[in-house]
Amino acid sequence: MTEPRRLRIHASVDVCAGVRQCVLSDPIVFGHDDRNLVKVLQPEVNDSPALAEAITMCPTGALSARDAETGEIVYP
Amino acid sequence: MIDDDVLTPERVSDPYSYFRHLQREAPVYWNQKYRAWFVTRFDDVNQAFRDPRYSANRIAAFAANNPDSDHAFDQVLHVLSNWLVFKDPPDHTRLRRLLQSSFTMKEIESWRPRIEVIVNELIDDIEQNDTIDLVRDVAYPLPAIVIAEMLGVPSEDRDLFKKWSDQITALVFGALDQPDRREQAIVGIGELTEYLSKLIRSHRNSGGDDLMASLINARDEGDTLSDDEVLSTCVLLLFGGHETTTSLIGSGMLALLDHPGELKRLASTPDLIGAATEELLRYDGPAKVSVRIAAEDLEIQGHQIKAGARVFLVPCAANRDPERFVDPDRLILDREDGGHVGFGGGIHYCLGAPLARVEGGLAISSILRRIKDIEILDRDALEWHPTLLSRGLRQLPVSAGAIEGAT
Repeated sequence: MTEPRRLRIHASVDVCAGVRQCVLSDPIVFGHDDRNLVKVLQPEVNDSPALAEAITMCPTGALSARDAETGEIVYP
Repeated sequence: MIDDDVLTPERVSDPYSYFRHLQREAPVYWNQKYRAWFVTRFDDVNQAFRDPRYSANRIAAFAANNPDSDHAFDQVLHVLSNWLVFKDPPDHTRLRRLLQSSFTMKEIESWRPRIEVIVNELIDDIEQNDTIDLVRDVAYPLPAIVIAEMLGVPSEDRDLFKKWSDQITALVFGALDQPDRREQAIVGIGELTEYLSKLIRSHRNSGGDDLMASLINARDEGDTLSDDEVLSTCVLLLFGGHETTTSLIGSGMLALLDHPGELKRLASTPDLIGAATEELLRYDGPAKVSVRIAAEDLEIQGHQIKAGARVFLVPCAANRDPERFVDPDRLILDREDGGHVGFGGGIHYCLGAPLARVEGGLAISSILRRIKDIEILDRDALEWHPTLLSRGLRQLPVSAGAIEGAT
């Protein structure tokens, strides 16, 4: 069995509008601060369907995930 | 002294001077005429959008204010009550999840080529016209055609769609110049719901890969949208995506024509369109006022706001707040201090924002690319819709040099 790839998570607080779809999709990786803006709780994680959903569902484009080794953009 | 009338002719054409005054003198202001608090500073508006203590459910209050309701009007309220724009969590959370999955940036991006074709067809048609009205010819028809096509409406029914959209828009945006707006909305919603019910039934039977099919098939942990919810959502998408996008394109073109240097820069640097669309949304976007209800007793800037009170958040004031933006009344396409609350924020952040960005960007860049030497025919004669919640031009008549081909 192959190891799931490691991803580095990036969130741009300047772009975030506090819609909080990511928090609903993947509450382990994404939380929010006291202004209800995105906060990355786990900056490097294994790839997962919940993470993919969280990033795809962001309506502002504030989130991305890169391959931790190659730096290539994996999501969105 | 602050005058409470937000919709005098001068303030309809220029709400910014009035709201600037309010922002400076009374940033949280009780307006007796509207019986609502007006909140105008960027930070306050931005925070309030993300604050769950501000409820978006104004349908309950609206129904209570219209006790002489009849069956037809109840039908209208029923459709509106399923709109996620008027819902609070947990109902909102569930619906937004289901709709969001059909409205991701990726999904909307996949429509870009088709939207570009529609924009180009609209510009092709201009050549046969004597006068050019950028609102009538491009900004107005585009969003209705796009959303109708996304929902799988046959092209021969497009004009019906536009008519219903107008009738419903008048009620929701509070068009003061249309005293029969309630009756119009009842007729519009009645006909539209009947039409959409048929369309949903045929989609259930035949499938398809359009937005309607995506809504019908949307799943969230086994949960789905009921036919009722699909129908209400279609009405919302049609209405929400129409007038607002029209206004973005119309006001956006006007702002550029008023700033020839920026227009020239955008025409020669097409890659600037993404940033330009954001700046046009900030500078003169369609969202004037957003209505909220205080869900509990609140305090903003020392003002006590009682539970149940109406709070009008004013994005158009916030987007010109000198505390937030350098030189706020100047259009600077690649502004370093960008950002705006034109799409709101928090859980009600505009679901259609990705679509508005694609449509607005494509319409404006195609107009600039293909229609040469555009000039406004009579700047002083331009009229704006006399509505409280939104802002848009009635028409934008222009003259032009050549209209070039699409390729």
